[in-house]
Amino acid sequence: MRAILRLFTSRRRRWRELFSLAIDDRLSEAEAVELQRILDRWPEARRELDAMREAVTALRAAPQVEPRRSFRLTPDMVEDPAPEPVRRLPAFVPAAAGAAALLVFAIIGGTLGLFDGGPAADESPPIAAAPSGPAGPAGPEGMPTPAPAATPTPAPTPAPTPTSASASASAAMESDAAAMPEPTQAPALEATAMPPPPTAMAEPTATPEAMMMPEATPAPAATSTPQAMMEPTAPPAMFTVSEPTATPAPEMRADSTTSETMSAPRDEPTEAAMMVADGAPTSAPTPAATPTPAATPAPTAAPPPTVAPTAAVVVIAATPTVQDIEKGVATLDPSAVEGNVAELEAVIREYVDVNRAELRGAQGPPGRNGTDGTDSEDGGPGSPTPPGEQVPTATVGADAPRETAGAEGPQGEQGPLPSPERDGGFPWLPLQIAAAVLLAAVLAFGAWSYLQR
Amino acid sequence: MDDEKLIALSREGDLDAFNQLVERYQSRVYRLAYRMVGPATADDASQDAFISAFKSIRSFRGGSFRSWLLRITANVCRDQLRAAKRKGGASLESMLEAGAWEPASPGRSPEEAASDAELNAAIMTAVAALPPDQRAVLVLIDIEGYSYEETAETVGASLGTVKSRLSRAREKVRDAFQASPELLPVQYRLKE
Repeated sequence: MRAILRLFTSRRRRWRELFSLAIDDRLSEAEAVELQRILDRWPEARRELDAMREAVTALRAAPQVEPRRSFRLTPDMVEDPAPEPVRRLPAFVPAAAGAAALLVFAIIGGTLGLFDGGPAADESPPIAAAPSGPAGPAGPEGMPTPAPAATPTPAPTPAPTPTSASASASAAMESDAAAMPEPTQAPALEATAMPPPPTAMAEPTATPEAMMMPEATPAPAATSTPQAMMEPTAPPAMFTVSEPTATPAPEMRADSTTSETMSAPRDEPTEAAMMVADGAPTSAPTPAATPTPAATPAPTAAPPPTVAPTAAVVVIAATPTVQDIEKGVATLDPSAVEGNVAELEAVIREYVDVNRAELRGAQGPPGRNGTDGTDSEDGGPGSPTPPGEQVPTATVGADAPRETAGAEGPQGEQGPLPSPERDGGFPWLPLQIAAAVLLAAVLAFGAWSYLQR
Repeated sequence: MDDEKLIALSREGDLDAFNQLVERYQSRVYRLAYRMVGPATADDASQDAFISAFKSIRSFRGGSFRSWLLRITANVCRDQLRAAKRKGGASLESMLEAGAWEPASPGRSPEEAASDAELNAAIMTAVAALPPDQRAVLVLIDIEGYSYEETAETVGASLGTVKSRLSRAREKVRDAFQASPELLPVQYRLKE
């Protein structure tokens, strides 16, 4: 059927072309013979040819129209104002584009910490290192300023007796658990840079399940040995707290109530956290929702020294500083490692002593923080956070990076700071300011020159 | 002064010389524009075509200046049709706009003038239904009387393409006339 239709269409097209040529007397001899054969065989072909001839006759009889005016050109018609702006525009457009590109580069570079020793350098500091005192003056608006790292960071342990870290953590946890309202959301922790086996120290933040060691291989339960934690050659891993998930996680209630440094202000619901390493969850939220997490080991915890993953916090210094490690040691909770905390603490301290020079932030005096249970000296009077006091943790939530920067304050010694005066990092902030000023100047010049024309 | 001399002067920016060319070809340009885009925008299309021709006359490599000028006109008209299509397809209404057409021969009798207007309206209706490429070929060959070869040069197509476009255009016009014979004057109505 289709072949017949195609044949018919082809024949009609051929007829049409022959008719048109015949009307203009442009048929070749062969075409004339072909047309004559068609006309003899198909009567309707002759009718169609006659109709087309009449139509062409009507077209050729179309009345002539004449222009109603002259189309002579005047000088103003042929003056072309367009080329001039085209020539001027490139004068500042590329400059503006370059300045904008520089600004974007500076912002992105500052955010990612390019040339600052890797992403971990200026990412958010460990959650436990969040300011424990009143927030200081905020950083530049809109400028993601990484938290400082050079100064030893006092462990924001709520415990008043620093020598008994475990006990203080438990005490703080208990008091916090009693004071905290029920959580409604669970913020997720994501690994932003997660190469091979990390030595990232999960800092316990007053909850036994809070200390966890993300492993290279994502596993449902994050287990790690002290040796793995100590591995000095392991690449850094950096974990940051991402935006809280919108889905309520009531089953994580118990964990969430134990985190003091992670927790929101006292009058706000506490949020549980989920740690994700290497793009995959290394510690799924534990279903252990007992209201007394200190006494209840996480169900996913393996035998000692396996550390149970927790939904409550976490942390992590990808390239841990001495302070990070000491802080973690100071806040170790026995229940988190099921009785082996002393051994683990000893191993860690030995490791720190041996590898202090290699550890990032080794310039701080050993044992400076985490020993008195208060903030560092620049925290000043009143800055120590009393047990059970809610500490605004800037790294939780969607605005974590900005809040971290803003909360730097007088304490300002948490986490790494990619500033030249701190650790020799690239001066992103001056570059950002310079690029912004340059862009503004170029745009202003462009607008001015445009208006002058 | 012949075309070559005027073209040479125009290349040097002599606007008066180019205006002599305008006077010489403006009727042809206007008629093509009239059939291509309709009376409402034929003036603008013609003016734009001459402006464009003056600005680009340095690129004229010789040959038929008329074909070169009509090609510019056809391109301008095609651009206008495309723009009108983007704006909502007002081109057909523009082409059929009543009252914009004026008899070329004011001395004709009222009956002849009415017949001309009737025929012109029928042709404009049929031509408006054609694609721009077929429209240009039909206007140039059947209405303006150009040869196949010059038309091919004007529209920038091969001779075979011109023949094909012309045959298709004629078939569509024939069908349109057959479909609405009452639009044509009696003497031009197609026989059953």
